Amino acid sequence: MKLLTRQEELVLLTVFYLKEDVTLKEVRKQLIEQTGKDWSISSVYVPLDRLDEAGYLKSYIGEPSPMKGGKAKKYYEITDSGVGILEEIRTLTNTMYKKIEGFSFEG
Amino acid sequence: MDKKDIKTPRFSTFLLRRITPRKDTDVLNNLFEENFNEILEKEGIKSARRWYRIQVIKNGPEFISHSIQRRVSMFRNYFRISIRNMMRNKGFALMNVAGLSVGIACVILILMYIINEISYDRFHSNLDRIYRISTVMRPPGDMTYRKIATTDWPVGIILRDEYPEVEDLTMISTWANFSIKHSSRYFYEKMFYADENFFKVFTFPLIQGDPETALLEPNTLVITEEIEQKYFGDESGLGKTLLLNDSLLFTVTGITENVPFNSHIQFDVVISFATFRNFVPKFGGRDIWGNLNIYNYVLLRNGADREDFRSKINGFVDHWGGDIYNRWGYDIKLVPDELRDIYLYDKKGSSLGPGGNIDYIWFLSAVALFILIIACINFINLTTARSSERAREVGIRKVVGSERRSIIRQFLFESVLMGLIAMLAAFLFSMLSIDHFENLTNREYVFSDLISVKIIIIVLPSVILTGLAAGIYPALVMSGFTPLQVLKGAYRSFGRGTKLREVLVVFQFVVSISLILSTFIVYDQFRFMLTQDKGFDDEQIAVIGVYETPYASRTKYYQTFKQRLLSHHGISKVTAAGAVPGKGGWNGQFARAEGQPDNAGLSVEYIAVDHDYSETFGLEIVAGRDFSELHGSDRDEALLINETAAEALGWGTSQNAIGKRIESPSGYPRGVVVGVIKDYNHHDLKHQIKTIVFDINPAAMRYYAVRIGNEDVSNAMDHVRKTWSEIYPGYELKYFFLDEEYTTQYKDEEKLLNIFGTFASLAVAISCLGLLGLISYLARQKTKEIGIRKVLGGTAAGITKLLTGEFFRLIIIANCIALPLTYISMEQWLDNFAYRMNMDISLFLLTVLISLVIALATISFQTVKAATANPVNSLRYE
Repeated sequence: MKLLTRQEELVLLTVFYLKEDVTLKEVRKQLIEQTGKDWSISSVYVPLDRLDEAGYLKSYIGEPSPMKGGKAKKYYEITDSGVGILEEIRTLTNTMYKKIEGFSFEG
Repeated sequence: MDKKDIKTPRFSTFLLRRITPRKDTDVLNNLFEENFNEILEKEGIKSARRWYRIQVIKNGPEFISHSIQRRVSMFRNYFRISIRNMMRNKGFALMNVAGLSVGIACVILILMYIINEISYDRFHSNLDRIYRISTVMRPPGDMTYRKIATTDWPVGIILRDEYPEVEDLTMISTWANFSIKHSSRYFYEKMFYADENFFKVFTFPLIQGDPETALLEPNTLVITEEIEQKYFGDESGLGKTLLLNDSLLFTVTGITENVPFNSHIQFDVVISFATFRNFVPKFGGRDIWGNLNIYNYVLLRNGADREDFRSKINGFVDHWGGDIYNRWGYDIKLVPDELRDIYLYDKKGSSLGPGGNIDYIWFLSAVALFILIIACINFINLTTARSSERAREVGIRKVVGSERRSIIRQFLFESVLMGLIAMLAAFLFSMLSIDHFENLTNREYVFSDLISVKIIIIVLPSVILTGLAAGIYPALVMSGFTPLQVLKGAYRSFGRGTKLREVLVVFQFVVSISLILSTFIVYDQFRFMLTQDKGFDDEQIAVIGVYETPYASRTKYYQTFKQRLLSHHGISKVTAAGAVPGKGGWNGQFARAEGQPDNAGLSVEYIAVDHDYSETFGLEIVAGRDFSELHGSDRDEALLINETAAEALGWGTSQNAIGKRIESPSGYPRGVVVGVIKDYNHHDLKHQIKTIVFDINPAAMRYYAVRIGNEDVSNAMDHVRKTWSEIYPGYELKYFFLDEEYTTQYKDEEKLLNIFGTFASLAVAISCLGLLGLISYLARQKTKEIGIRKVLGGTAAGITKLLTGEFFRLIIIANCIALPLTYISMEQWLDNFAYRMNMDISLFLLTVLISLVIALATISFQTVKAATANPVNSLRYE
């Protein structure tokens, strides 16, 4: 199993959460809201691109919307293997926490 | 102000565009701009701009490291696929790399040679201002000018005094030929006389002693470190003395660093010119003209006009020397030669030191280039030929979504990688073959000559370029397939490359065949010269060099030495001479027949001999008589000439020449002709027989020639050795056998033969590798056709013919082009020889035969395998 970095994991989760037609801008907004920290554009883009290349995400260039002055947007969507890796990570984390005595993790 | 007009900061925008990954530049920049606009609305222009600028610093590092990682993983991917491809087709990859690496190895070696050659004399700090003054002259009766690196004696003196652009000038004379005595033995070192400016003009740093004064006084000399070590061991040699010529004490006034190998001026010992002036005072004035014996090296002033100087000294001799040369019918000029050109451009003969050969450099470069081209052709041919096999890979990749660009990159990367592997192998090859190359070029090389920055700087980019060039054609063709074509099988025909491949194969074989034929022709001419009757007897003659013994004892003991040798029953003749066959006498001596005007003279070769010269070498007297001890006056009066001289001096027949007088201003030759010697090839067969005059002149002897009877040679030589050490104790006996030494005149031709031979075999080998690759590809291509033919009753022989016929046609075409081309160029080469063989038709036939046999042998294995294969196997997968 390929491990993801924490950043990648969070980005992947966010895309999963936002479902379809997810843009970088939305992911970033969501992350800032959730974590309360400032995420630079590159710190969101790089994990997105890496996940894209690894096949956990797929991307496509959307039709330029007439309202926005005709500028193209790139959309991301989670793939089956992306969902798969999130499950694996969760299972792994759970198992490891369970091994620590007196600690129970409610999923 | 309208918000729409407010732009993001220009420089930061530019930076952000560069930094963001190319594929998503637009998307990302839109995002930055959107954010910028939001802040602009909320907080105003100032904070928006500040925010935007900060983004460059905040996002830059992450974007950049991401791009680098992507690139690395891309190349890792290319690399992995390339290696996988090579492994899948080991034979193909090996052939490809082997052929290319041999080509590159040739280039590396020849580059090394050239870099070595052009490095000569570059270490002098005044390089650009140093010139050697040479004499260019046309002897009476000649059509062409000859260049001599020396000048008349007064030239240097006058140049120094009368020409303000001359900052310094140093005169060098090579008339220093002394033994150095050391622990009761005599040694010879490279030495010459040079005046006190020697170390000002040239950059030969002194380790000890004062360069200004070191060569000022008579009987002083400067030695190199190596010589200091040899004669004085670990002690300093400065101020110590050396005994020269067994009679003269010299003080060491300076020690120089050892002379670099790449200097055309080579010395172990430099003797002060003042010494020479004491020995030979008569050459010190301004009025001794007619002897070209002194080297002058001039250091021009900074800013002096070279062209001006060149034209000023052109008529120097006529101006300062009067009309002495004109009176004798000579046309004479002085020219300045740039120091940087002396080594490479000097024609053999009079230069002070070793000389290179610019023609040779061009020739080698051309050969190396051809070999490299052949190798590249292989590379292209093999790659395109195999591309059809990879078409399926390309098709599938395209279906999966590869861009055309990335497929092109993959192919280019693969061929560059192959080139780089070949380069590494080439360095290995050149290291292994460096010994052979040293023989070819008569040079010694060290490891750092081979793996040097200069070579890598040239070779590495060329290899990458070669890889790109060889890969671009297949890359473009194959990346252009549509997946549909490929997967349907339409690529199988792949006819586009066929014509090109045929042309390239023909070119390869044109080069190979030309080299084979040239090798044969050079070999034939070489053998022709060796076996031709030279007109004298060269067997069983040992020649002793006596020019290193002191002059006085040489003349004094000659008769004793001769008689003692003759007392041995195995020795039949002994004679002395200034030059034995194969060695030059005094060339360019001026002579004319008595009664003729001064300007009717001509330049002759003067050879000093002893009485029994013609008998020892088996020369025939066609008119008159030989020198004789019975005629007492022969010693002073008599001359022998060859037939050519009798003709040239205007006497027509040999008989007519007898009793005639020859005059010469220098006195050499002067006397009465008593006999005419039948023409023989005193020099090599490259040149016509010269006009030679023989004179008895015991003072000018340089060799003793000993004819050994049919006795045991080593026994006779033992006697020679014993006698020598008794008469010239302490001097080393240096001798050679005439027949062997005479042959060394052809060492240039021998070298050429070796080079042709080596490169011809390489060219053939590489071309055959290519052929092998093509035929195996073709056989595989036609597997199905062959299978069907066999099922329908085709014979193995018929199928072999089908496969080989194609290539035979190509080889025949290559022969048709190569043979006439080689004939024309070799005809020109042969015309350089006074005695040349005529090209035999059999050489041409042999070449054709060899090219066909080699090609056939190369392809036969593959064709037979294909022809005898069981059709069941080849048709199975339909």
